Amino acid sequence: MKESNNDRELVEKFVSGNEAAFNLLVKRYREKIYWLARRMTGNHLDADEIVQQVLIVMYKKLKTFKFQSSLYTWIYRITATRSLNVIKKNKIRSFLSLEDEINRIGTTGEDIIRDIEEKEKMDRVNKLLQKIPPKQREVFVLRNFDELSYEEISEITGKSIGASKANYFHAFKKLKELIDENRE
Amino acid sequence: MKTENDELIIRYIDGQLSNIEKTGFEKKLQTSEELREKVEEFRRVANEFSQTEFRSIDEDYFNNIVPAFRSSLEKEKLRPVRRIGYAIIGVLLFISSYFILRNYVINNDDSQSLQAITENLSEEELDEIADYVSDYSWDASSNESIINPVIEDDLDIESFLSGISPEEGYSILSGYQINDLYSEASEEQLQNAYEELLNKEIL
Repeated sequence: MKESNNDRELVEKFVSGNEAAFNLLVKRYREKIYWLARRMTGNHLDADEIVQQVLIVMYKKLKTFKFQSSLYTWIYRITATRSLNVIKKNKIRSFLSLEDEINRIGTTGEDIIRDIEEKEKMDRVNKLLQKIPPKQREVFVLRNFDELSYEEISEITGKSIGASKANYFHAFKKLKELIDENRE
Repeated sequence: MKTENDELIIRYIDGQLSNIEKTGFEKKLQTSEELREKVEEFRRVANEFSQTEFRSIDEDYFNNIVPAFRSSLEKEKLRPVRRIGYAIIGVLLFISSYFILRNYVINNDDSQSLQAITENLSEEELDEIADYVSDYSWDASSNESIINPVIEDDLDIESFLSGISPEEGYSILSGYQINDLYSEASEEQLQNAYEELLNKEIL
């Protein structure tokens, strides 16, 4: 993935007080943030919550962003971390209230996908993704859906390239097994 | 052998084979129908999880992201006192859970103790508490902990915890020692306890 040419310019404008520049940055990255969060958590409501969290972090932290990494890997990193936190939060929440996490996610009917066929496919894919460990899911989603290189994935996850490749392999293998099981 | 093949196929589809490996693999592909079928199976899996262009998406949702963000930013500014309150409850609940899990005595009575604490909380309150507990992990975007401002002292929580019985732990649940506990634990100590809690299978 290539960094957009004027990311730096927009960040600088925002830091010097131009709020509209922040809105343009959001417009540029909102869909990437949403779909990564959606695939990580498996549902719209959590993805929506993550989008808002990511924007708040961006808004507060952009002032200290020094472009030591690309803006998009930074945004992906925040999104991935927030997604993992929401997954943890759901587990903690289900533990505290002793309710079934799967049931909670299953009851969220709200969605932005209007086409029934597309929604069914998204649900089918998400259901399978939720069955692999979150860290493997993170690498798999970044690689397959976002088509990022292992160097970029490594920068986002903070893990080595080798570890990312291993996570991808295990995720892929497990997903294939799950698909095979469903066919039987 | 099977796993080796799987690994090779996945790396082939993923474009991760070296030129030499790729040439060798494609030679095998030409001569083995079984291998060709297997590669196709893996390809179908990869395609199932590839980028999708949606024909029909609610564009209003994306258009409303900025207004929704501006509104939540305003709300954020208005509730700092409440946030610290929930942070304290969050720390308390996770330490309480720690006691239950640490002693490996997860049975109905223990679950009920925890349930008794949480049953009077609203959905929103439970969400906020879970938020603070989950936010307590490392965050790539921030080295600050939401709990940090309320914990200033440094004490060895390991010895503090090891000297406490489950019953005493439960008394913390009922609130007798809350203030002592959170003022005595350092961020690092709570982090260790939290990580241990998260590593338990129940979470």
